[in-house]
Amino acid sequence: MLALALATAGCTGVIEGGDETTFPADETTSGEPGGGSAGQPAAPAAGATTGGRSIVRLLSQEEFSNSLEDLFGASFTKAELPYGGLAVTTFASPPEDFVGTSDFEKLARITERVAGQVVAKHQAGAGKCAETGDATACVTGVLQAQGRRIFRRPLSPAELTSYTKLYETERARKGNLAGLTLALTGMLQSPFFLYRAEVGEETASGLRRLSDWEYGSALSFLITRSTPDDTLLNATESGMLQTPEGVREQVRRLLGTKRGREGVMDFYMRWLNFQRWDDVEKDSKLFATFSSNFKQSALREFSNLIDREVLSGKGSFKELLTTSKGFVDTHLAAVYGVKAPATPAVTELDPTTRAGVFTQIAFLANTSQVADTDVFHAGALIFKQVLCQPFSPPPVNPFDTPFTPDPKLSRRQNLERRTTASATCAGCHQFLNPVAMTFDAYDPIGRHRTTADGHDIDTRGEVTLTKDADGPFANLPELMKRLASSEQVSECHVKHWLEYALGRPSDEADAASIARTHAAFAAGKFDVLTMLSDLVLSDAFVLRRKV
Amino acid sequence: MKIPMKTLGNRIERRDLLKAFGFAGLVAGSLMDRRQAFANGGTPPRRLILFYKPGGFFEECFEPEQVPGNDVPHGMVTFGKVRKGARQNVLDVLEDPKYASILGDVNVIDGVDMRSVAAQDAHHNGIRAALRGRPNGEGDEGPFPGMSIDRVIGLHLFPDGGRPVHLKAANLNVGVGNFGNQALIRDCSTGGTGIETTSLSGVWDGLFKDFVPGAAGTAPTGPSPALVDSNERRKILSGHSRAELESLKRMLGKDEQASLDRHLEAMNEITRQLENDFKAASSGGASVIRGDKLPGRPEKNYDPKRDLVPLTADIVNIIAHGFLFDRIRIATLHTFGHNNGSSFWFPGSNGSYHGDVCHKGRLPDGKGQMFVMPAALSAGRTLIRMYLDMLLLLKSIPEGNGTLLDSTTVATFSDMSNGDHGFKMPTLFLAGGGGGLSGGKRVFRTGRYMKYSNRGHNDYLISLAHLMGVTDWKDAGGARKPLTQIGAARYNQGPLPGFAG
Repeated sequence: MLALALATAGCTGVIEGGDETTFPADETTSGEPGGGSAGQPAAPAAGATTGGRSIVRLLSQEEFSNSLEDLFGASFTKAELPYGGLAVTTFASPPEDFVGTSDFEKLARITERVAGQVVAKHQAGAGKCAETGDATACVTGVLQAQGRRIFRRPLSPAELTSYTKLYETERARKGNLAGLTLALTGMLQSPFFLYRAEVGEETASGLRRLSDWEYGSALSFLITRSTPDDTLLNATESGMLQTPEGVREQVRRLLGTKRGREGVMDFYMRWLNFQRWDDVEKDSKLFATFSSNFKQSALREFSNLIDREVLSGKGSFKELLTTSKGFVDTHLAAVYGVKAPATPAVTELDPTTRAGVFTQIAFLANTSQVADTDVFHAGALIFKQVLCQPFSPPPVNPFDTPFTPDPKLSRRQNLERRTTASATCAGCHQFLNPVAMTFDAYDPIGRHRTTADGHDIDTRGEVTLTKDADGPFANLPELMKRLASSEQVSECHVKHWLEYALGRPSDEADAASIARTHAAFAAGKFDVLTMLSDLVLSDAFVLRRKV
Repeated sequence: MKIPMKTLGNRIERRDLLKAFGFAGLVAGSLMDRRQAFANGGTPPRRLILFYKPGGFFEECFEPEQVPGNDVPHGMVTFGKVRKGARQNVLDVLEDPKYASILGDVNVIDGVDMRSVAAQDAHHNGIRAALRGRPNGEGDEGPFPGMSIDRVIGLHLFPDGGRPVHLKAANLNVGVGNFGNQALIRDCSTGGTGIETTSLSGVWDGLFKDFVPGAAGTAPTGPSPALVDSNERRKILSGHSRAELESLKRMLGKDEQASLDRHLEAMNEITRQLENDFKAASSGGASVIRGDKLPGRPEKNYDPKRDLVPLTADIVNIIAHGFLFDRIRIATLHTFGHNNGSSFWFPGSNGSYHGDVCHKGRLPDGKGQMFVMPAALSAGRTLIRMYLDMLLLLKSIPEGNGTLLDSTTVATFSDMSNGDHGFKMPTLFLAGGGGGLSGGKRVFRTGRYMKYSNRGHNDYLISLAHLMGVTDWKDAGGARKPLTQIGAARYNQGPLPGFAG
């Protein structure tokens, strides 16, 4: 219906998912999301489409780096790391496969170095393997222990034999330590370390369920962007992940770690397109207060909001979109028009101009240009990231057609004339503009304003084409409140989290899991952390179609 | 000609890619033979240098006064003359007597916009988008998915099978300076050899080290024991990883298996390459090259900011010798990094960064960003001088009956036109005889001012590809098609007129 409406209107935009399957009827709700015996979902109910597509994921640069740091305390400069190809800019994109020759070279250098350091450290310890004599038994023990951590599962007997053989081959050539180093290097270059392959185990339904080890690994990479720690490995081995309670306990624990916090923050940075934050610049003559310190303050305010409304476990997704509380310091106070606190503090802002993350300085500065606002960028983000209704990219050189602003008209009127002059542009802009124009009430550093270029700013607008958020609004805070009360919006958020977890776009097979998790999200007063615990118990997360 | 395609092409690409892994250096083959062949009048191969200028300048200062016609000799253009309403014109550098000898080798190109580079790609990731002819966030379309134009041309210039056995990679990318988190500069070309350096030794080593184990001028001694040992280890590991990949593949479905195929091909190639290396090494076939014919291995460390101009010039000298000895035929240069990893420093701008120069308020007409004009003008002029000095150097190196410039095309490209992130029209420079000869004359006539209207950067890339001999491609079904498109169709109108004859 939605796609049809846009098509009828001549918009070339697409709605994610392509049709109404994006917002499935709630026919499969079954109480506990993904609830089933032994902690993992039972076989899907008849008629329900469950089990997602399986993909093999190369560790991203961050996952690779974090894993080596967490496993061995090794750290690297960005330039040393492989897989520095495309930054992952969407939730649904796994990193590229091996992209260049430099990847191989870097991988070889790093793994050789790390293995050398691990062996040196091991040999300096009490349990070192003897340099001479029959060291094989000792080395086999080392390989078994390290292999479990590196492969995120115990080595199979064949693998242990194979790595022991690798050790012996090099030992014959270069000695005991060289042999151990080579075997560990081999593990770090192994596809079983570099890739996350979810093979799963066959179930009676014909779908494949992640093994406990795969499941633990998936949890860890979702939450911490790193390899499972020893606690999680031990929990996995003990069968703890076979019960929902056990899973929830591990999820809570991981979310409380430094890596867990960074992982959640990573999601929200991607959600709001903050990957280019370092590049944000403003015209220093127009915005003298904008400095690197100002940027740090703005980002700190954003982080504080995520801490309060997501990570604390006491907030809610709705508040994330609507709160009028900021985290203000001397840099931000003037822009918000409040008195600067002595030390950075949560501060009540003007609720008629501020409501949630989309009215924060960080978001507004990030979506503006150097000297001017970019209302269409901000508006398009609302459609894509909040409503899951992205427009297709604008045509090449959209502003090539000459356009002379009429000085008698307001900025909004001129922008609307320009963007609806041709049928091509109007197709999307007729829906985008009524939402986007409200962002013009904030200048490029997020300061609220009522006039621009000598004209009053008209902040009124209307949401259309949504499942349940349609209607007029007077300004951006009203728009955010309207969106916050929408099921489409909260379900969209679940969908984004699932795509982030799976590293692929969701499809119709995931719809039931999204709907179930969303139902629980609503029942849990939109606590994101609880939702994450539900999401990782969902069919889409743990089941895979048969290969 | 054959160019890697959507399906077969990947296979070729991966094989080629592995030659850059660093195992290929021990094989027999005389560099001097190739050098000698060109010196004695043999036809040198076509060569290409892509000179990337990121960060934008004040493009208005690059445009010569409007002239009638769109393809006119330099004599009709006064480059230094200020266009109506514009400020100083940095093209006055072209009229410096120092460059009189090469002005006839240069074409100045206007009217080509950067439509296939997205605003968010500018600066850090612009080079990848510019070389691929598509925004970084877009999926692959067009005849060469996942490949950049320098890669496509490189594989044509050194096709698989016809490539000298000692060649490590079809294409070389050099990021001069320290680029910090700008990893795409190193990996922009998807394959090839990527070097990021603040010294010359890395580039020198990449091109010549395996053939001159000691210092320049010393007798070759063959591969060092350390290298032999390292290669042996890597050979053992590659075999092991290959077996594990096969094992993992067997556990997966068809789609997932395909994801691993590229990795597997790479490992297969590594294994094959290592075996060849060891055959060559064990037969005593270390190559013979007289070190005194090369510039010595430079040990100096350059300051990435203060020394950027001489560092770039010196690297070009090494690349030129890489051309002479046929170690490479295409090189991409990116020379604007700095050690803070995020801001671009402009050479010639008295220590200013991109933000200091390009984002300093509105222009008086209110239509754009104010530049710090003295710095912008100085940076623009310095850039042009760096480019022209490159040409002078190539022209000073004799080869056969002419000079290195006769067989080398040197092209500029960019991520945007203006420093305020405008994408309208970067002025481009294209020089040299890399397009080859026809009837004793260069195929690509130089000494011209070429003005186009509403043409995209992709058309420029296609024209460059044609100039270097890449005129067609094979689709997945094996059908040969003329090359008229790089990236998505919407960015293309076809090759620019005036590039051939």
